[in-house]
Amino acid sequence: MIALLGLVLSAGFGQDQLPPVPPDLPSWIRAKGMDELYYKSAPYNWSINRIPKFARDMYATGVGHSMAYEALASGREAELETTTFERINRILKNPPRLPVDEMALSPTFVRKYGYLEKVFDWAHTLHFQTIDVLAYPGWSDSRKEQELEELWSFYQSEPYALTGLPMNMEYLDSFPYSKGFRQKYPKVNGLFWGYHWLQTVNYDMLYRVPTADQAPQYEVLGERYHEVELYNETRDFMPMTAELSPRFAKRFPQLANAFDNLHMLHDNVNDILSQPGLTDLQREQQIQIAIYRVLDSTHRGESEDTLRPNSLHDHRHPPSMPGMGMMVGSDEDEMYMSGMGWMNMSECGHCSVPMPEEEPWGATVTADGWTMSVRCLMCARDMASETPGRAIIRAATEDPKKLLILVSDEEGNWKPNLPNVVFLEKFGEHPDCSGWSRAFTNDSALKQYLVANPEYAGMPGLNLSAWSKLNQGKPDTYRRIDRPNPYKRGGNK
Amino acid sequence: MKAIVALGILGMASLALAQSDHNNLDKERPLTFEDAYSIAYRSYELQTGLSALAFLNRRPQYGLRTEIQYGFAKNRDLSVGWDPVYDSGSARLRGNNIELSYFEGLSREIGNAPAIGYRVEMEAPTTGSARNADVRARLILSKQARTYDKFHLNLGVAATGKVALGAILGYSLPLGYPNHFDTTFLAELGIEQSRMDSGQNSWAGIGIRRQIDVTTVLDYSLRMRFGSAVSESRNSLTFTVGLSKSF
Repeated sequence: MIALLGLVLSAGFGQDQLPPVPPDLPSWIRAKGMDELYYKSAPYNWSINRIPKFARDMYATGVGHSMAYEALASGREAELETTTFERINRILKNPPRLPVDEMALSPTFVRKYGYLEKVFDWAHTLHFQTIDVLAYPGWSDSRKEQELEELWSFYQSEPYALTGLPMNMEYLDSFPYSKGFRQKYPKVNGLFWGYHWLQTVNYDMLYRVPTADQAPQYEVLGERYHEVELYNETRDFMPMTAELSPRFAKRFPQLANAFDNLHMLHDNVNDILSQPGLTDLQREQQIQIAIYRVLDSTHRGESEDTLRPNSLHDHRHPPSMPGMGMMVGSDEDEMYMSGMGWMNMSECGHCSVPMPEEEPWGATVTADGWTMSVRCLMCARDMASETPGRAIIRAATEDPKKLLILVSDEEGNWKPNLPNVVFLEKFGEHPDCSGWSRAFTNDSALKQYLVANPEYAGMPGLNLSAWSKLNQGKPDTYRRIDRPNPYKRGGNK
Repeated sequence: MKAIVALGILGMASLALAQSDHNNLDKERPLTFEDAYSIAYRSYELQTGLSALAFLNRRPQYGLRTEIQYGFAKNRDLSVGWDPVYDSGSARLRGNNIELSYFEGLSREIGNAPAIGYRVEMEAPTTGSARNADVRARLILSKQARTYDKFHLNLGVAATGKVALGAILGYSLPLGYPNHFDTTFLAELGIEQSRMDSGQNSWAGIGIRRQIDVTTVLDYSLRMRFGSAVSESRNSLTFTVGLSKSF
């Protein structure tokens, strides 16, 4: 039996076992030109360098991708978990000061799969330019948001653009070769998912955050990236943008979806390149099909309303999160998050009360590798205090243009970006918590709020020190979703 | 002459310790050859370089070559260049020629086939007769050698009344891999028919391209002409330092 299986594998997969080449494969895939593209000219370009540690870590992700692909494309997969991993790891620990030409680092891969590199390169340009816009100090938040819409149009003007529609992740990860790479090469797969964690967690670090308050957050995120996320072999599924940057993903679903579709394409390619039973031709065809599935041109004219469940054209998304496709086991707004278990994205991650529809939008907590949306400052503080290690809270204040950023140390001491921040906290019913647990940029803003809301009249403003000593414990409204990990079902997911 | 050699060797030695760049290899930046790839679509590139040409038996010449390129379409670029030369022997400045150039990349490296591109250029005086225009074309092949290094074959033909052929074998090697990624070592060996008589010109050169920030490349080179149809140009040495800036 084993000998027969070996014979089948050495002869390649049967054609009927593999997805067929679509008849409308775009002609550019067979074009011979290098087709190198320049990024959109703009004053914000390379603003990423304003956060030097983050920039260098991002540049190193390109090295990591390229070295792994070069090893896979040149028949050195046997050394992937040893020599190649060590070589990549050295670069990750000593990241380059300038962006790296990925094509120069993976010449064999590019000679074989140059069309794929065009897709990767163009999407990576979108990644970087999105960061540059958000990190640029010269524009207002609204101007930046307008530019991100324009950047998206610019990106879509090329045939290599990925779709901004949500895609069914369970479907995209369900082919005969799927999941092979993460099982066979867990260390290098951990690196890939680590890069993708960094490339998705950063957007809430930057979005609507004053540029002076961006770099301090990277002290926490960079530490987490280097100490845990790059070497995490226990993650069930690749990091999703909406999972790690929910505010950004909700505002720019097309960007969040394109990044997730890019990262799923990386996973597909890893699986195809590391699948031992494929012939060179099958490998090439399957990579072309994987590209086809996530291209913008394949889904042109479709929308989130195109409901063909569990298919290539399944563009459903959780009702409260347009920036994410349906996941394994997803049910409406409920999804399984690695490290957190089942969560409902329409609810506060701490008290399970629905998130507010209007301003103030609440807060997010980033800790232990995840980011959760919460209704109020109290939920943010108490959720962070339940979690070991450093944390970041990003919260609304009375001024929509001023975000409160709190960064904690290992002991839970908070450092604010607003020096005169003052808090209101009058513990009451959780469904009303966004009224009685709030942050204000200064004392006079709090007084105005108290005048406008007489039910809180006489409440004292709390300074950071007094506020951070409070802890109201686990809310009685919290509802744990008790379902098994869908990725462990059957033992092979 | 000795000072130029010393300056050149010093420059090469210090940069050989530095790191590597993998951007496009452009003609004259800093060596004569180029690779088979155009600049990126929608990009502009300003290139400028100061050169000193030293002879055994006469005073040196100095050049300030400047060129602007535009990637007007995928795999295609246009450029306009100006190459003024000051002859310290005769104290004369020659600089009334404008160079117009078109490049097209036909194919990237696919499988075992090399990347292929070609360039057509015309150098014409801004004053005087257009009959003095110099028309040149070159076919360019680039091919991966071992892992990261590449060979670049440039086959050229020039026509100024008389047709002259030439060939340059170029070589590029990123330095510092896999730890550093911003410097490339270059070398070339060239030969061309003289356009003035039946003789030949031949030369060899080495150079460095170094990325100094995200859009700027610094280059250095040292080139020795060891055969020339013009006797005074034999054994001449050219030292070049230049900058390329994309925007």
